[in-house]
Amino acid sequence: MEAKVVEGLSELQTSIVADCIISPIGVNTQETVRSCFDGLSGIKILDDERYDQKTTLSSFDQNRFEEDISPNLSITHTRAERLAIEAIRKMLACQEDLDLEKTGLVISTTKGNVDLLENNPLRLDLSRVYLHAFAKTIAESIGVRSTPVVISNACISGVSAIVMGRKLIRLGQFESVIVCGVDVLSDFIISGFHAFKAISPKPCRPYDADRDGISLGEGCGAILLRKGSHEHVSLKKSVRVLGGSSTNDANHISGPSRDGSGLALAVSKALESAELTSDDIDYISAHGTATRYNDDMESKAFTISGLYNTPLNSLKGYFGHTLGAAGVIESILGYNQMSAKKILPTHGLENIGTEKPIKALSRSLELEWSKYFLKTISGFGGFNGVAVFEIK
Amino acid sequence: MEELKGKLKEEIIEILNLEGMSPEDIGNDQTLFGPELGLDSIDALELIVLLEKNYGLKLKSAEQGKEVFKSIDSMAQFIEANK
Amino acid sequence: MRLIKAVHIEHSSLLVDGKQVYTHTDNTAFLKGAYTFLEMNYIKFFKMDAPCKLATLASTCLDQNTPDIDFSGDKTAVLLATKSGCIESDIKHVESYRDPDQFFPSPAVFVYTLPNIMVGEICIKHKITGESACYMMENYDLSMMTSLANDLFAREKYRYCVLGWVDSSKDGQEAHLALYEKEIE
Repeated sequence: MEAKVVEGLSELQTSIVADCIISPIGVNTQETVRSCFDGLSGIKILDDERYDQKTTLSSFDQNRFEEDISPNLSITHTRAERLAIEAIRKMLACQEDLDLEKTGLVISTTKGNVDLLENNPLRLDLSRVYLHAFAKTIAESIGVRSTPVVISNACISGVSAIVMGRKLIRLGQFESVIVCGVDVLSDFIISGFHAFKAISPKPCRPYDADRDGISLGEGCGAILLRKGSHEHVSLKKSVRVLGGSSTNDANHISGPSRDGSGLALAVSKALESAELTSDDIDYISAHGTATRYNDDMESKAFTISGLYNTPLNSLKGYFGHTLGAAGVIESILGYNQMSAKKILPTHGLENIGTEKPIKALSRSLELEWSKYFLKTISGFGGFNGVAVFEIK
Repeated sequence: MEELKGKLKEEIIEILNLEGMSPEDIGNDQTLFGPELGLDSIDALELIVLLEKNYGLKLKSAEQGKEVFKSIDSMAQFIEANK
Repeated sequence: MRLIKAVHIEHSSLLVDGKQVYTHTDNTAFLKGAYTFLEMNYIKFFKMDAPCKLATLASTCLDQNTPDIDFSGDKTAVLLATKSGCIESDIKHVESYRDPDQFFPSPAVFVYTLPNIMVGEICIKHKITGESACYMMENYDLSMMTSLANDLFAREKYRYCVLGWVDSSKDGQEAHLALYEKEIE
């Protein structure tokens, strides 16, 4: 009991005070959230003769990107850098009192500037392919002096980065931490996922009986974490990161564990770190990539965790799978849904077809209780990530 | 046909990095995805690329792959039939 | 936390707790030579890219000659850092699709184009299911990595941590892995 009281001290808390999502369906969080509630999806179908199958992906309109996303950096910075810088700048626009000297930066990405290896029209220094250099470029542009922490945990990176941001504050290294998840699409990623035969020729349908693969996506999500108890600037509520975990299946480098035990372990470790139980959880922003194996694996994990009756959705039908940005974007969407007490339907889901029954929503749901939620995610390397949030 | 099977074994050993194996170690009717060779789902995808790159053959689905990649015999038959 | 064992691979030499146990004059033959020397008998090794080979060679050393220590399961964390990550696999993948007439992206190459795969390979080899993470940094930040491990020991139920740096690029190959145990008070 005593430990709980100590944890309750406000300086040990980590609050989310601001954020920004830039996605093909919105230039900021508000617009993106509205688009989702309006049922819009960024996913389109491309026919590229190099592949046997069509490609489905959610990508930026190139003309709009050039106009909207850090246009002043168009000849000095890559697409991924511009996206991250724009999102962070927008997020910090109303944070005049933020001391950047005391602010940390955590970057999550799977491939950063890898497209420089295939095409470098601006003749930029190729060393920016290294992710530490990619992060340093972003830090310099936004004025953060400390060396950024870069997490590359495949698809779970975004969740790992939020948990890491909380850890840096708790360890007393920073008063505030900017967490930014970003990935852009290029032939590198698209050709790889085609080689894996993992891309659905139709917009992805998470948890559906007829699901047949992922739709890719690109985008960026940024979050500002602050030590102590602070109100979120636009939601006017307290949004806190209570804990989290990242565990390993120890099974296969590309296939999800067949039994869901890895993700179930991540859930239990995350709940333990937040001092909560599965009964406390009101909603899960799940992974739901729409591959047969992933969605079945999740259904088994949530069954083991006692969360089979907890409302959940996958947001991949709105954004596609945004890789290293997914964990951040989907967490922001998570607390926006909680704040509105309304959970979005899983875009593309009609008839649930997972191995174990779960409460994946095909229609929107009004929540009576909306205090705690989980963001769960899994990825290559056998990684599973879970973050626990509180909204009040 | 025997020549093709020998060639296939060499290609498989090379492309799947089956260290220490020689073509004689793989039987024509041996189950490729059985325990002996330790092949997994990535290897199956890699065999799809092998058929495309070296023989110009495309598989319609992963399901079809299951039949074709049963053994060296079935792979050779598929290649002969679709030449 | 208490150091149980440290393994270093650099300049084609393998050192355990400071003592050289294996070396080879040829860089490319070193990895296979070390595999044979350690009697790994782990056929997956030959499918891996260089950073994963380095990581599993080093973790195998951590696991040898310590009969009293079992670091499998969810009480062990694996935290690695790297600068180059999987850059060599990245380049190999780009070469497989850049020429439209020779457009054959390989799934076996693509799967290694993620830096955290080496953490996954260590976890698979030793059946470790605890905290796993891969950090990208220019130079090994020992103080940050140690504070992360200490935090896991202090706040969560971890007993062991595999901590280290693995880097492979055209400039050289190195791995510095250590196994730590929580200090029991």
